[in-house]
Amino acid sequence: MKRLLCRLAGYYLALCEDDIGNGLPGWVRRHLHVCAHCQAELQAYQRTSQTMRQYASRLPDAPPTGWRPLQVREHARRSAFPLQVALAPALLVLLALVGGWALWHSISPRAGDVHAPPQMAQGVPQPKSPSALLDKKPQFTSPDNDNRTKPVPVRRIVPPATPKPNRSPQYTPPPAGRRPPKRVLVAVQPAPSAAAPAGEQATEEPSLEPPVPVQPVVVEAHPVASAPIPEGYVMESARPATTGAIE
Amino acid sequence: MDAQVWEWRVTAGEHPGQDSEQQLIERCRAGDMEAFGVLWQEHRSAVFRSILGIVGNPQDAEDLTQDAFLRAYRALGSFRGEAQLRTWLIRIGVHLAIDHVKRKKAHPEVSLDWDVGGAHADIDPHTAAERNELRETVRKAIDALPAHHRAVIVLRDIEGMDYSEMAQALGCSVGSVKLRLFRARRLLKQRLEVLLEGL
Repeated sequence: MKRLLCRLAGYYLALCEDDIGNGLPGWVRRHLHVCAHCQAELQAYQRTSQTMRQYASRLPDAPPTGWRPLQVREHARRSAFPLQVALAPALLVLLALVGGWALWHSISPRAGDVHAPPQMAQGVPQPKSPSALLDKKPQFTSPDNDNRTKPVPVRRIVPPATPKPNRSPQYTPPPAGRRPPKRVLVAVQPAPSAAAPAGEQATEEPSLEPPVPVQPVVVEAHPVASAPIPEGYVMESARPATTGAIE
Repeated sequence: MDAQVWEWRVTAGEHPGQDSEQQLIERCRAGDMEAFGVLWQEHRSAVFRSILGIVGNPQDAEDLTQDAFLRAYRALGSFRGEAQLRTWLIRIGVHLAIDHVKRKKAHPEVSLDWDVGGAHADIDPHTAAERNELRETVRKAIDALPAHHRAVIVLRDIEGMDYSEMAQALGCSVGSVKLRLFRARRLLKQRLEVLLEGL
């Protein structure tokens, strides 16, 4: 209880300054007579007030600076509306417009690269309720009678082809408009002698001599064979490599 | 304040010295810079001391005093005369000083304190040293207070305002002024007890 009274009295002691008689309520004055703690508190506040009065009396006076109307007018004109503040929003808006225009032109396709968007089918039926869909009998129509609108082909936007860098110094790019021919290794062997009669061929027994070694010929299969097959040779399918005929 | 209330106050003698001040204010509103120079000479010391008590630096206080009068000149049209011109000017200066203290707290600078012996050359060096020591001690104690607490201490103990003037200058109620003053004095007492014990 006494501590609570001291805390309550401290508020009045801090504000009363030197006017104890009129500045303090009666209960605070009575408490002050019996409480040594509050008496010390009051003395501390009085010392503080005295120190502050001394400090205030020794504060320097304002410097003898005159009032300069011209300087004030100039300062007021400068600080009223600085040019940077006025131009900053306009510059920001201008930058946003230029940036947006540049961005739009960088991502928008050219006029020739894009078809018009596919047109929506005319007379698109309205979605039906589930019960109506269940009651409807299925109707099969032939593909010939299918008169559904064909989708409009959409041309893809193809980025321009960029030539790949040469991988090796020996690499020579192919001529424009023609693909390089594919080189295919085929095996050929001499054809049997044309002078032999057909009957003999049918009755001829397989010889035990080994066949003529096959000579590999490299031809260009596409677009046309660059090296013609020599006469007297016929095309045969390549033999398996296990025969040892093909090197 | 409308004209009728003002006339009543003048005729009742409530503020006998304000008649000429009101005329000066009207001349300032009309653009008479010489009239504002007269107001500057009358009130600059009070505004300077209030600001100096809060910021503690004479150079900053002088700049802020100029700023306060500049703002007052630009805002004279909105001065309604509900408070005295001195209180209104001190209010502008106190708010500027509080803002300055907060800004300086965020970006502290080296303080250039004034020298009592330099300002009063006729004081002997021993007295000047004592005064400087006391000033340094009180200044440290005040600097430890928050800006709003500094303001109430300065207005009450340095400018000697009453509670109603302080309420007008700080833009709050009298009860708030008392509560702030109580807290400020309690903090100041604790700081001064510690600092004065060391002397």
